[in-house]
Amino acid sequence: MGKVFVFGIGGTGARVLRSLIFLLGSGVKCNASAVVPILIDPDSSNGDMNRTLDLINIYKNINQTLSKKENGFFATPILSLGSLKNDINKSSAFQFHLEKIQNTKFRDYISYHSLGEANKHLIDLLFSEANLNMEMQVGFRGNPNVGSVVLNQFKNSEDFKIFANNFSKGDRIFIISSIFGGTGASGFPLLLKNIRNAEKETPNHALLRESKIAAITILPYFGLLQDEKSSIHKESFHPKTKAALDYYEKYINHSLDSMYYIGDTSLKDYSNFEGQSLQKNDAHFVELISALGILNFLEKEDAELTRGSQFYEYGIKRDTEDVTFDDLGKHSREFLLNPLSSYLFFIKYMELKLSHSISRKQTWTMEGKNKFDENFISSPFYKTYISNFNSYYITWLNELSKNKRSFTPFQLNVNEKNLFSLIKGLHEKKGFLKRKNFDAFDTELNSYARQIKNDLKREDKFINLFENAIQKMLYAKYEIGISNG
Amino acid sequence: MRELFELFGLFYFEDFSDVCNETGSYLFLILIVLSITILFNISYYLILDSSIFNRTQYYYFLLFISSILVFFISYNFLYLQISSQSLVFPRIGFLSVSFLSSIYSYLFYFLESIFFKNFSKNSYRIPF
Repeated sequence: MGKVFVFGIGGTGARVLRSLIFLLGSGVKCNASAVVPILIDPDSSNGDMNRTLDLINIYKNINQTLSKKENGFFATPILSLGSLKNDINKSSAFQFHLEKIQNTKFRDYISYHSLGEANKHLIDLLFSEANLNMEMQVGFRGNPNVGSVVLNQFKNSEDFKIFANNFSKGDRIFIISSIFGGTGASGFPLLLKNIRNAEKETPNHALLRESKIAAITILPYFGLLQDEKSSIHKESFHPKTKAALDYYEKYINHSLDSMYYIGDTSLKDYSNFEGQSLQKNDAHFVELISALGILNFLEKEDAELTRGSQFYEYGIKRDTEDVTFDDLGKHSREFLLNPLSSYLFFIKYMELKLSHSISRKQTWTMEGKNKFDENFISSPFYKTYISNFNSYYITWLNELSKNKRSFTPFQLNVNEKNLFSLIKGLHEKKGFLKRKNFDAFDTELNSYARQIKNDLKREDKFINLFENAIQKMLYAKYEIGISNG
Repeated sequence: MRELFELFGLFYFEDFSDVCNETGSYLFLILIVLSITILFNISYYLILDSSIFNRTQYYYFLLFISSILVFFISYNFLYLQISSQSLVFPRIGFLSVSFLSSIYSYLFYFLESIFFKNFSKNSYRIPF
């Protein structure tokens, strides 16, 4: 299969992409040759978006350091639009550039003052005074009517042309948006329209029109604390959702090859920030499952995808506030259990054991041509990329576990003495001669270190060693099968 | 066999060496050396095979213990064997042959470990 262009619109789009990156990092199977994430948010200082951008860049650096591989940790390449165009200046840009919105009121954006009287009256009917006076650099603050005007600049933008120019046969598109806010609710229909009705001047317009496109629209899954000063109120979420769903049914769904809906009835009220760096919501189970939607779409053959006929929802086995792997359906459980657990074991080794193993010259660190020593720990690959990714991963799991509803499949505070209590609901196979805790881990590492190819470069060897050792360890301890990845 | 314990003529106790050879004690001493060193190698490379014990100091510690054990078993065996023949020899003879058994245990232990380390998951780099 070709590339997949994933558009993440607004804060929710950024958070779903964040979950997707963690899934890819942990080696969840992704049936695409590369993922091209594109974040669309007028609020360039949005905390959620910047956190995701940072994460994507770390992932990209790790993936590019490693040699090409079929599966496992960081196997799926992530490309930016700039890198597709070989544009060095934008090679790390994953953000769709929106023009003329910085320090601009909506009133000025539409040149309200230069309109004739009749048009002014029409505008006054469609937009409130507050809408017209809105500063747009912090987003559309839950006003899709404003967003739908501003985001219409998509089709003429340089980024859209780069996207279209790089769209090849076999590539797919996935659009993530929330339905109850401003940016996502307005951006999604516009983006879809611009792709499906790509004009003749647009590169690859015929391919774009016929491309396989899926979207996930995220229904309310969190609330906001009441704040008189804020223009966003949670009471408006459901009416806006109903109106948008009605619109989607009539004008959107027939243009999509798959449509995913997700939401939650268990709502936690977040702090009410209108945008910028303070808008940094905790990760949520709904975002993780939304990211699974992307992978589900990629699993489907072209022949399975018929426009306007496939709609998906997601359910868990029982209505619990604390979701673990046991509460997921069989397919999701199989898809997530092994990769997420594997990567968490990898992190636990880094956190609790790696320094000791290196200073003690544990067998696996000394085996073969490329050895692991203090230099490796201080190399950019480990110190800057892997460590930071791991730190983000733990933060993500912590956020998931304390949100409502929480996704809490791991005991995150395990230590050297109870390592295999890590996965809730799974019990370690014990025996008199069975090795325990990090002894079991190191034994698999030591054992696999002998089998690994001697010509692998150090970074490849490091990741390959842990991937394989962890798989054997998971099977020995829990009888978990080989990873999906 | 007796050449091993006489160091090919360099080390010879008159009569004592003949008795040891005739009673089959030298053969038995070699069997003791082999079985104890094999037992200790199996213990180290297969039973104690862990990421905790895969350090050279544990290897040398077991090597030392096995040699001590070989020394005492050899001494006691020789003493009982020769006493049962109602023969009397100076203690230095028993000590010297037991000491040689102990030295051979170092050699065998080391040679056997080159074979046994291949079966270990953790200690295949020990002693080198």
